[in-house]
This record gives sequence, structure tokens and C-alpha cells, in this order.
Amino acid sequence: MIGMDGFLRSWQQQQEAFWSGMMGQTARPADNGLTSWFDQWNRMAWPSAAQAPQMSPSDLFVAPFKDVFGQAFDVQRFFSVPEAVKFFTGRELGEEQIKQLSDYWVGLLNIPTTKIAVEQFLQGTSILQTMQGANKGNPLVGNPMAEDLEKIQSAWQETLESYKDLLDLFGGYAGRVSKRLLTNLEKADGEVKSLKQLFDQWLSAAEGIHKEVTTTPEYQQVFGAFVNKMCLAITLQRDATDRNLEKMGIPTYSELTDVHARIQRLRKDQRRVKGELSEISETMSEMQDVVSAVTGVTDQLQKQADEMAELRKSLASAREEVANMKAELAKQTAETPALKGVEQSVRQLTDRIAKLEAGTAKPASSARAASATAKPAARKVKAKAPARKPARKADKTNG
Amino acid sequence: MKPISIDSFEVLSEVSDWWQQFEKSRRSVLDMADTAPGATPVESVLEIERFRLLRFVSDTPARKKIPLLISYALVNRFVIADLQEDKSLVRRLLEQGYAVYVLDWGYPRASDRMLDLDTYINEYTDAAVDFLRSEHGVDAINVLGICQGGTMALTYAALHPKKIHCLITMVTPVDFHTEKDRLSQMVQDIDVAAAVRALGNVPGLVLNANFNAMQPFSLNIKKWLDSVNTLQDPSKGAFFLRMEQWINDSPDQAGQAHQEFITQFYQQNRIVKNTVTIGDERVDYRAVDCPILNLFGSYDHLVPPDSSRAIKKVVGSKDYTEIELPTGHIGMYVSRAATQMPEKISAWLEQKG
Repeated sequence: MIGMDGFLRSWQQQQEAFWSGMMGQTARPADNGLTSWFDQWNRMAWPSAAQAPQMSPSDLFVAPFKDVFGQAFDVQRFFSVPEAVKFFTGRELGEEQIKQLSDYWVGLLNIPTTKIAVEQFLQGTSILQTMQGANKGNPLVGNPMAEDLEKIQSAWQETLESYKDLLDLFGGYAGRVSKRLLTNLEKADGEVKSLKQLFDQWLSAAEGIHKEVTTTPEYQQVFGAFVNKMCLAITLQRDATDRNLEKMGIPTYSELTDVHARIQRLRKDQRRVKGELSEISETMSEMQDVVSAVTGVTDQLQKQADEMAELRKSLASAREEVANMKAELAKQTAETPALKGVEQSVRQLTDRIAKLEAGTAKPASSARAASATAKPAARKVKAKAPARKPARKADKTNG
Repeated sequence: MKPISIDSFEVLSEVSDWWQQFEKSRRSVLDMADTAPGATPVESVLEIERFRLLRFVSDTPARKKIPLLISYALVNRFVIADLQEDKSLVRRLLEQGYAVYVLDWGYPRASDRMLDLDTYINEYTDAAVDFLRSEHGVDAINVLGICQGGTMALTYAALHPKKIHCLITMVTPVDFHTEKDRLSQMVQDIDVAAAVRALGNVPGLVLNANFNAMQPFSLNIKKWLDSVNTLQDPSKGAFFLRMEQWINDSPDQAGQAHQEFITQFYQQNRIVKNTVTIGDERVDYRAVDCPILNLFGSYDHLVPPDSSRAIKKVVGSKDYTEIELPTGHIGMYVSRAATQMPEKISAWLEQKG
């Protein structure tokens, strides 16, 4: 988080730089935020201080980048548009006069130009070449490092070429902005009477043209190529550093990458296992519910079984009591003659009933014999017979 | 008629006026006591490594049963939703009686570069959602996804539909290939895997520079020239400074997650094709069946309205409401147009039970 002090410092620096420039002092153009962006890239591009060129790495890239946006203010280019010169001066100027005029403004505003960018690019390349040459002759480092450096150098060269392609897309940017500004002013309803109004018109033209350039498919491709090549250069550089560190037994970036990848895999495994454990725990909890339900039923069954056992016990003692009573009755019967006579009469009565029953059963059996040839009837009787048997059996059992 | 008629004395007077205003604004800034962003105190209720689930502490007790979880983008910080007392979406929602929480992704360091979207969505977000379900005794919670956080919340809702009661998306990109999407155009030809291989985590500064590069003159020059007017007023000035602190508070992006997000969403536009993969799981956005409230700004240059509107075509839910406000991306939090938004969110949630 940016603290208040930091913010104020940065803000003031920007304002002061702007006004220093306006007043013709020799302050550098302010950091407009893009500097930080390139500084960041360059810090990554030059991870080791020893590898960094003598000039500030950020200068190598910041200046040309500023130049792209600086073109918006590039009076040199602005005054190369004859309509603009005529518009502002009301005169047709010769080439030399225009150059003098633009040089004056460039000096006054301290604007970086493409020329500076190219010079710095070449300076950077020569530093790489020097490093490469020095390492080739170094017996401790030898050729592999020199080859690495050669690849790195070529990658950076390609990056900068891509960057120049990006600059080319903004070719004539200042001129286009000027023309747009003039067109807008011609179309405007009233006169522009203040610097602020003019600035607003310029801003609108500059943003408009910038948007037109950056929304083209070409810009998309060239910007992509530039970023991709820069990333490749950074990777090559880091890989080379890794190889050298490895030789010295120092842990490297690629090793850390491996370790991080492993940790991430472990972390996923851990999450998977955690998920499985939680599923198992859910299943266990469901099973526990089932077990407790089954336990409830078992308890109930046990209770019923206990009750049955009690009933059985009661039944057994009732049987015993009945048997005792029977025995007692038999004993009392034997001992009482009157009861004996009654018993005899009962027996006789029972015999007579049996005989009577036998008498009533006879006509049925003779009828059965008479119709012996009538098979269906016989079958009917036969069929009925087994059904009765178990009933009788059951009666017996019950008896 | 000559369109420019600037008197040289007038110019000198303008310059001199500006300089005086600059002096006044400088003094005004030095007198400002509290310019830190963030109006509402927070407490951490869950922590996993650098990730935290934060609860906004309120004097008003929460009356609503279902809590509201804010899922903010990985780029920049959630503080914009609670920038200052009179411009705080969070404050207004607390006043409506919601228990409001936010996913704080933290500041990834070099050792976090392998964190992927699976970790952010299925581990961090899921842990937070489960915590809130358990803490508040509900089966599902309400989620407010903002910007990239909205895309992640939508993806979470597709993967865990039963855990989301209502989904609110705010300036959320869904269709990444709409005509006016300049961010998308900018990254189409970048080999993001190579970039992440080279950089590890993607520096927040790089992202900020890219955002600024979309309107370089307005954001890098005009804003500062105009700021002298704003900064003279202590109230407006403090707001301006808080905004600046928020803008510049850009965490680095965990490499793997950034790669997946740019590749699957920005480059391949996979939500619209319903082919997003998180971890090993294919995301089916038709599984999102909860009510959805979609909020976006008409003049949003980072997430064009058409990009947000696409949500209704990809989800399974038929309960869809959208509110378009006449403002830009940041205006959704702090502009006058957005003043009534918390009440609208609350009314909609109330309606959904």
C-alpha cells in the first residue's frame, strides 16, 4: 500500500518536473507511471546486478517508450506538418526555419526523441557484446556461457526489433494528432480562448488517435510479439543463470519452480484425501444411524422375548397346577363312591352316545358303497379326505 | 474565423492561476489527517495461508438470516467497496441488516505462483462458503461477485449450485470477445504461459500500466493537472487520495491462476462456449439455477455492458434481473448514479426470500 508520504512525494515530483520543463529548466521529464512499468520489466530482465549494463537498465527501455508517448508532444514532428506551421504562425516557413523552430521547442521541453532511443539500444547491444566477448576468453566460464549469452543477446535484439515495430505503428503519430486537432478546431462551434480549452481539444485528439492505433489487429499482433519475445529473453537469461548457479551448487529458480509444483500437487492430494475422509466420515455417520436403529429394534425384540419367557413360565406353572388338580380330582373320585356311581353312569351314557353316533354313520357308508361306480362322486369324497386330516390332526394337537 | 484566439496575457494569467491553485491544493493535502481508504473495521474469521475471510464489523446487528459474501477481483483490493463512509457499498448493506463478509485473497508472493483457479475457487472460496453456512446455520448463502470476482463467483455457483442462494454479479465479464473489449484485444496474441514462465507471478505494476495505457493521456497527464482543483477541497481531496491509494494498491497475480484466467476466459472465451475447466472438473454453467441480479455500467471501458449481459445466456437460471447504471467501471462503487444500488440489491434479495 502506498503511504501518504510516498504519494505526496510522487505527486509533487510530477508537478515540479512538469513545471520545470515548462519553464525551460533542465529537469528530466516526469515519471508518468510507464517508467515504473519498464523498471519492473527490467528488474526481471537483469536479475543479477553483475549482468546489468553500466547504464541504468531502465534507461535502455524507458527512454524509447517515453518517446512513443512523447511523440504526442513532439513539436519536431508537429512542426513538420506544414498545415500546422501555417496555422500557428500564419506563414509558410522554409525547411531550415521549421527545424530551428522545432529544435527550440524540443530543447525547451526536454523531449526525448527516437534518436535517443536508438542510441541507447545500440549502447545496450554493445554492452552485451562486450560481456559475450569477455566470457568467451574466460577459462572458468568457457564456451557454454558464451553460447548462452549469444542466445540471450539475440533474444534481446529480437525484442528490441519488435519494440521498433511497435514504435512504427505510432509512426506519424504527432502529425495525425495535429491534423485531428486542426479538424476538430475547424468543426468547433466557438473560438478556443484559453490554454485549457486548447489542451482539452488536444487531449481528445491524442486519445482518439491512440485508441485508433491500439484497437487495430496489427497493434494486437505486434504488441503480443513484443511481450512474447521479451519474456523469452528473460527466460533464457534466467535459465543461463540457473545453469551457472547449479555448477556452484546454489539452489536455482528452476529447482524452486519444481518444489512449488510439487507442493501444489501435494496440496491437491491433501484436498482430495480430505474430501474422501469427509465422505467416509459421512458414510460412517449414516452407518451409525442404521446401527442405532437396528439396536433399537433388537432391544424391542429382546424385551418381547423376555415377556414370552415370563409367559412360558406362567404357562408351565399353570399346567403344573392343572395336573395337580386333575390328580386331586382323580384321588377324590376314587375315594368318593357316589361320585364313582356318577362316573359309571357317565361312562354308560358316553357308550350309548357312541353307539348312537355309529348308528347314524352307517347309511352314509352303505350309500357310498352303492354308488361306487360313480367316479366323480368318489373322487369328490376322496379329494375332501386329505383336507380333513390335518384339521383332525390339529384338533388332536390342540387336544 | 480563426478557431484559436488566445491572448498571451490570458495564458499567463491561466498559468499563474493554476500555480496558485497548485499551492493551495498542496497546503490542503498537507493538512489532511485521515486519507486511508476503508471505512468499516474488519475482523478475520477464517485464514488459510495468505487467504482470509473477513467480516465487516457493524454496530447494527444483522437481521437477515442469510449472510452476504463479497467475492472481489484478484486485481486490486476489495477496499473500493468500502472506500469511505459516504461512498461505501458495504456500509449501506450492513445498514440493511446483512452480515457482510469478503474474501481477502491477500498479496501473493513468489512461493504462491503455482496457486491456480482451482485453489481460489474450490479451496479458498469453498472453505469460506462452508464456514458461513455452518456459522449462520443455513444451507446456502448469498454471494456478491465484483468484476473478476464475479466471474469466479459465477464459476463457483456452477460447481456448487446447492450452496448459493442468490448470486449478484457486478461489472462482471462473461463474454470476453465483445467488440469493445480493449483489454481482451490487448492480450489475444500474448503467450501467457511463456510470460508466467518468465515472470513467475505477474506484477501488479504491469497490470496497472496496462490499464493506464488504455487512456494514457487522460490518466497520466490530465488527471494530475485537474487534481489541483479537487485537492483544494478537503473532502474531495481526501476522496481523490483514497482512490489513488486504491488504484496503486495492486497485488501481484499468482502466475498459474493468471495464466488460466487469461487463457480460458480472455483468449478462448470459454464461459460462452461452456467449456471452462477448473482443476480436473469441467464447469457446466447451466447448473447455475439460483436467482441472479446483474449490475453493470453503460460506460464501462474495462467490462463492456455486452460482456456482462451475456450471463443470462449461459446460466440455467430463468430468474434473471439486470440493472444498468449510467456510469463507468469505478463509478459503480462511488458515483452518484450508484447511490441507490445497495437499496436495490437489498430489495431484490428481500424479494427472493
